Amino acid sequence: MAVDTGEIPVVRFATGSFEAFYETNRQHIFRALALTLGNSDLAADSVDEAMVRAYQRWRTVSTYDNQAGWVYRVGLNWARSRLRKRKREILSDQPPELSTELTFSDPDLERTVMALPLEARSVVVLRFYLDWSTDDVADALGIRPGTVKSRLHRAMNELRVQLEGNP
Amino acid sequence: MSLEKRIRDELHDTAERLALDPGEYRRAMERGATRRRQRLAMIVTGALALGVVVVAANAIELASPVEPASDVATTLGPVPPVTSAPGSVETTAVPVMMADEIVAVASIDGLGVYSPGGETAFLTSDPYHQSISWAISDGEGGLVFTHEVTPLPWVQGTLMWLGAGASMPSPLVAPEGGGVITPLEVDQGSVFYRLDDLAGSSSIRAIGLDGSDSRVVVGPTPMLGSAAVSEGLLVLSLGGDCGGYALYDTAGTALPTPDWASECGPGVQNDIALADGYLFTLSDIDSQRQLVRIDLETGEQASTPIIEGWQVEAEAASRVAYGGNIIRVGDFSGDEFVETESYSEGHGTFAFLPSIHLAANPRLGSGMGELPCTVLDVPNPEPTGLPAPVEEKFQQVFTLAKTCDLEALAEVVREDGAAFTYGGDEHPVQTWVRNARFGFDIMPMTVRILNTPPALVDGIYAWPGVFVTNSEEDWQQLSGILSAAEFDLMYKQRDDIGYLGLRVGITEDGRLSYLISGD
Repeated sequence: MAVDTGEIPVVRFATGSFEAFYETNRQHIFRALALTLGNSDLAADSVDEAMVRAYQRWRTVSTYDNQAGWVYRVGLNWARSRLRKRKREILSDQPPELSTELTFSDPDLERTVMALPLEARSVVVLRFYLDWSTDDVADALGIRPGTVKSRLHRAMNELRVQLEGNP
Repeated sequence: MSLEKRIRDELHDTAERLALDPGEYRRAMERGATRRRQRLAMIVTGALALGVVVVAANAIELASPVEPASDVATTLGPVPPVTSAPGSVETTAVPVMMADEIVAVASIDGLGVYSPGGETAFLTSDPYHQSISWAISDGEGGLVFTHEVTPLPWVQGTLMWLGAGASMPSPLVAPEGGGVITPLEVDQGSVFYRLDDLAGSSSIRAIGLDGSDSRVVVGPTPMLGSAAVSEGLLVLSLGGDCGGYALYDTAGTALPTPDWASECGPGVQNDIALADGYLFTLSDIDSQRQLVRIDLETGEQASTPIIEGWQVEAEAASRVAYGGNIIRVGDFSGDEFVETESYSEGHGTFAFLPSIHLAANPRLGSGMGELPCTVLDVPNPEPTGLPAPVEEKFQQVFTLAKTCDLEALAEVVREDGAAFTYGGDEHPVQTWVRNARFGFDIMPMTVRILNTPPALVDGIYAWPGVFVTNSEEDWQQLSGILSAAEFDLMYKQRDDIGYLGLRVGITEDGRLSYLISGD
């Protein structure tokens, strides 16, 4: 794999300090998680929790090829667990709403992207927001490249059907 | 503007508006360092206090391996059961107090089942049993559960039933309009579940395990906290400023509210469970979080401390506590007898005590189940120009594929050393069945592919020929074989990556070289 030189300066192969990794990646992983989860507050908590875990195991994590991918996955899993536990807690009167800053300028696109299953949305976000390759997305999500392709394929088909009326 | 560019631009524009408060890496470092120290202290303290033997292994030793269901064994022969132990698992074996009970851990990795002492622990993980978000016992050795991510072809959030001895779950009910279903209990043959719809309304519903008698037990209930069902009784905990409990029979008829249930308080904030004539819940007593047991008849209460911040399940007068990634199980007196450490970083867990007796139901697990393969009643083609050994292998593969004789085809694959997956070391049937379950039915596709003209390269006859030639003419051979969407996707990328769909290769001397897709 090569170092990503795209416009998102996510350093996935840093071998240096946790500080450098943190400063470079926290914001972008947060944004990716927010777009995936549709909830910026939860994403903020998730990325901070994942960063703590990254430091807790930095000796190991720093050797990973895709450190940012690891943090993203830990954050996503932590958020899922949090959501699951939230279901077990008392419900408020109001259902959770999308954060206002997460509102797309294209409401149709927002509706269709946010209607995708979480697994599909995570692939779409990593592929199109972080511009990661299929292999990098697979590495980050702990799935096979073929699975990434099939999920992306299905997601794009769904989006095409919803947005353009044809697969 | 292409759809991909439209998505990319929108995600970037939206992300630009997302501002995260400046982080302080030192704070993260301090918290991480503290956790390291706490973890070390906990491990040392636990080992000293319990005097336990810590069995640490990268894969749990299966002292009593799970036997696949008889129908599966008959169908699949040598296919190994799909059991795996991801990551590092530590089980702490302490004196057995409830020999017949086990604790199951549902997680996004699959289903872990731990017996007291750990000697019959196993984990299941296959496409149908991964990513489990919620699970309960069906009371007869099976499970009722929901997925975090429900595999196709089912609707996201569908309630599933894995009966005792079954290896493949059956769908029971899908959430209406994208709501969330949480199974509560199986009582008198019906699954009681909670439905939280997207409008924020919660109701209690039931459906028979055979899919019949779907009904609303208690309609939309504001501030519904938790619910529990046992032996014809349904108890709801209600939040709000003056919460409490509401009691119903399982037909949905409201029952008189006993004194203990009607006290106006700050509302019930935690899970409840019903077992053995008791209601279990959590409460803060003397500034300490405690597991409270309420006698349903007398209202008499007893309590026992739990670990602050942990979630607690109570069943059959025992308790399962979980916090972080640690699971502990004990009886009401407070002695713990099973402790596990989660096997995967960052993955949440959900523990429960299913009424499963491994000895009586050894087949709970994830065998391959029915083969999702479509048999095609088509004649074998008569290709011309193939060397005799190639023609013979071609006919053999074609026949086995169209009849879904996976075992025989797997034998051909193994004998010839053919490539069938890029995914590692597994049985070919596992690969094919897993793909079929996710909508890629390889056998009929193999039949269709073998009906296209082959191409010869490096001593291997390849079907479809476009894999070798990438020619426009050969691409058009696929237009009626692949779905329109698949064809379009591959066709658009033909100059970059060519054809990477399912392909069959047979060497000139008649050996199956590959039956594979992807890269």
